[in-house]
Amino acid sequence: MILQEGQLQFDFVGAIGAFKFDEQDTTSATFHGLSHCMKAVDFVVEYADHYLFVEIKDPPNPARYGTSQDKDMLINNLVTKFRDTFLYRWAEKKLDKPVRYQCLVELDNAQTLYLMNQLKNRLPKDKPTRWHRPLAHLCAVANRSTWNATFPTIQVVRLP
Amino acid sequence: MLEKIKFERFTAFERLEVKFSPGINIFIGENGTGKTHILKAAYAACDVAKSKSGFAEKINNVFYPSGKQIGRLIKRSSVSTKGSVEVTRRIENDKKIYLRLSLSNHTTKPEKAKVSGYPKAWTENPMEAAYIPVKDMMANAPGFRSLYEEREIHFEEIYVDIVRKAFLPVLKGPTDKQRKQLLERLQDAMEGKVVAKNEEFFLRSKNGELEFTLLAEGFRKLGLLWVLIQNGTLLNGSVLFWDEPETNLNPKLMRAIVGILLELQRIGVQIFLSTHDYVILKEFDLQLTKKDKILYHSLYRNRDTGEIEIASTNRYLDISPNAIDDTFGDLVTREIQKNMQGGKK
Repeated sequence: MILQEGQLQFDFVGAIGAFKFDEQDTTSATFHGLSHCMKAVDFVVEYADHYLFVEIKDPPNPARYGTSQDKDMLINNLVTKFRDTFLYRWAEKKLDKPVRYQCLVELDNAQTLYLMNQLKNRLPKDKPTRWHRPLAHLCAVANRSTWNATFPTIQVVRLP
Repeated sequence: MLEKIKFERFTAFERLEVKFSPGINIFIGENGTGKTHILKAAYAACDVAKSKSGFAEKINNVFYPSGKQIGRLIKRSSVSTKGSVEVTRRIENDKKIYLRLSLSNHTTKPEKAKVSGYPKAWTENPMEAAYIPVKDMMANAPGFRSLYEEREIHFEEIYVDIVRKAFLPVLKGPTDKQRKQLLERLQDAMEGKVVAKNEEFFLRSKNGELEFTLLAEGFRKLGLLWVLIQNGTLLNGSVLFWDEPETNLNPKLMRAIVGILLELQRIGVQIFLSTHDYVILKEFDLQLTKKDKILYHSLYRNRDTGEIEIASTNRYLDISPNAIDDTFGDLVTREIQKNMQGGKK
């Protein structure tokens, strides 16, 4: 199943379904309709044993995406998008499988590693004793090159 | 300014040509790809312009092959082999001159090696150069120079050279504004200034004087840079070689170091660094302005031939292959894989 965001095209091999989660087309069956009050990840993909939330950040000038302020904003944005999407899916009664959250961020590997650590802190997998399940079973942040090496069944290409 | 260097069957290189930036040159690559060899060969060429010693002898002393047999610097081969190293620089009126050392693996002594090109013009146009090696020498300075002169000790000459440079007296006349600012920035970073007494270095701060042997190695490096700026070794037209500046330095100090290196470049110092450190690369990327001149040189082994090749670029994001970023990429992959495995449990 192929989806595209900007110049990046994703091929979700083996997926049962995949759609643009923040769909703005009012005539579409998957129209989001709550963009005025809820953030949304780019794609939601369904597999036999899990759901996958995909968020894409493709900054036009990655070299200048460097200050801690930028990073804090980026992490907040990634966290909020996950949480709002999670709530939206709860209301849809579509949280019957574990959720994975994968962010494709076109920054260098050191920066994506930092983002991944921060994101994992904000969406903890080590659940407190009162929880029965984690929010996300996986939090991953990778650039396209590392993504393709790590997730061979979800290849991403940059279109010309 | 050094313009380029060319190797043929010399040390690790079968054939390699590197064109330099007149500003900052940063060499990255895995261990064994020849970063330090490039720095050492270029430094030897710079040094003989002023010291007027022979290029072959300097190369031999700087590389220190076993038994000081210069022929051992030729790339290993099962047959008789000839090799060379050639350094090109620009002198006044934009004239290009080069110095070429040719030898074979059977050459035993430096005087048997051939130096060609423009050796006369080379020494008629002296240049100042300093090579900061990976290991700190400031704390071991007392007596080291005389020991080196009097005894055959197994040290590459870069170590005694840097001690000699550190002991040079301060330039006559008042310190110009730019150098003063640089010295102040270094003083802020190391919280003091350097004084030398009887061949021993101390860091003088508000808490008193601390001998270099008791000082963190990172501060010793800052202290050395301070001395080289203060005594005028690093001025317009000079060349600084720094092998792995990150060694023993807290990454937080890198911001100040990179800022100072960029300022040195702006006053006309040509700089050569080798590094394995992400923070250095990123600091340069963040602090560079459009006027700054920089080249990132990535050394790597060709997968088919196994020979060392180079890719140079002035854009941080275009460095390819990037051994440092690849390592982080590997960490990202392993971290994700570990989490995925954990999720299955």
